[in-house]
Amino acid sequence: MQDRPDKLKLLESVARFLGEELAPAIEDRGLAFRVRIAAWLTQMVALELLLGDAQDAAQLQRLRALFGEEADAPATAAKLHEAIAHLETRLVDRIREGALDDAERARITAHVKQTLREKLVVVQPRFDTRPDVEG
Amino acid sequence: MLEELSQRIAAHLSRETGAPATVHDVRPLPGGACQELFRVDVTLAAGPLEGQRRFVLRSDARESLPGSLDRDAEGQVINAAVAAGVPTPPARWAARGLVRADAHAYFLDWVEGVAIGRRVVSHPSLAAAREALPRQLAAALAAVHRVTPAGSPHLPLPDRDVDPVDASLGALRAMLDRLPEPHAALELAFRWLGENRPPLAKRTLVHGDFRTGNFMVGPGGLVAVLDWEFAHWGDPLEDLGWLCVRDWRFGSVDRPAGGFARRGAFYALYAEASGRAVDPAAVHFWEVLGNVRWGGGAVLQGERYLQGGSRDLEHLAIPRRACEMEFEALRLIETGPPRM
Repeated sequence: MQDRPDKLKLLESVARFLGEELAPAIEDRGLAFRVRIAAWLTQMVALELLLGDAQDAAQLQRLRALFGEEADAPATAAKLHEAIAHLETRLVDRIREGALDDAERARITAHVKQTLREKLVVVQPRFDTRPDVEG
Repeated sequence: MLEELSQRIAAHLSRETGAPATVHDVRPLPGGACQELFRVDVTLAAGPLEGQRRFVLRSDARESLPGSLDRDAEGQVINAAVAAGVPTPPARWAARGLVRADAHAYFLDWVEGVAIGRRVVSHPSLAAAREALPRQLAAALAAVHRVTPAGSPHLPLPDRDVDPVDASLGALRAMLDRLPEPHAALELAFRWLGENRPPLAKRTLVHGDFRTGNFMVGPGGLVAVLDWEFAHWGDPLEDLGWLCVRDWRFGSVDRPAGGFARRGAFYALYAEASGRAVDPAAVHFWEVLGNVRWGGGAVLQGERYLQGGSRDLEHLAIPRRACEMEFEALRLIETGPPRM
């Protein structure tokens, strides 16, 4: 185990440095834009580090519920990601080819929207997910 | 390379204008995926543009995106649009092999203005321009849509007899089939599109990328409509739907038309300019389709970095934003067409 500061703190600090100190000091607009992208990506990885494990576990749980599967939680992160990819592919096939009644479509949509909300919290925390966002 | 290009430009413009052209400066500008751009300063010795002038030279890039026009077809489309009343510089002095072997190119009059979306939508210096923009853009779009296959049969655009919805859904299916990972949200929205096809009102020229970011804006408003490489025959309401796609609002989410106008106000301005009522449900269909297309497009931009050898950080970053377009597509489906 490494000493303080932990990896989350390091990433957040690099993101803050890139976005708040470096980018405003760069005159070349194209380069400054790319430094802001770098800051955003770094912050995104920090949030993924903080939230990703719980989000991935919840996503797999929802997918298994959709398909009526029961199984133990995967032993490693790689196995967890493999299981999610497998079931999301099955879900895509179901959406493309299945005769979906309203109830099944509502269940699938609820899962998909929840997954998107969890991605957005990491990728774009300020994205407004309210249905009446247009006012 | 620029020295030789200068000489070729001078020879081409001398031939085209019938009098010696003197090139003072040729400078590369940041281009797009489909074209190379140069700023050209030149003195023309004759013709209506006699004197010292500045132009943009647009030439085919080495590669192009699926479904995009080359500079030859693009130039013809722009001139048809200009003839129909779109306020944008015409394509002049078409050339082939000017910048590189076989590449088509043309010149545009240089105009001063801002195209960067976030500035157009929110920069204080453009407040007056934003007042004028909705009416100007509605008029420009109505003019684009006055160009029809029957009136301009010479335009080299494909699919003049294919149903526009079929063509768009077919292209979208091909794009979704190229995605490197499952995207259930895009598939759900695609399924909805197939089940909610709008009736075809009219087939016209469609700009294909009519959105904030592709409008050059000066202090008085619109000065040029840019990036015509996705022009095609189709449903004119496709352009309205694309203009309203949330990502082109650049933060002004409550102004669905390009980040500068309310939906109902813009539809009314377009109806007035075009003389045709707007079917909000049809625009809604095209807006959902636009979000699916841009969501899939965002994923594929990442592949240019991950597989294509691009070293542009923007290409690497954009696929993570696909979830924004995916969520918006499902939000639109859930809320339904707006009540007008």
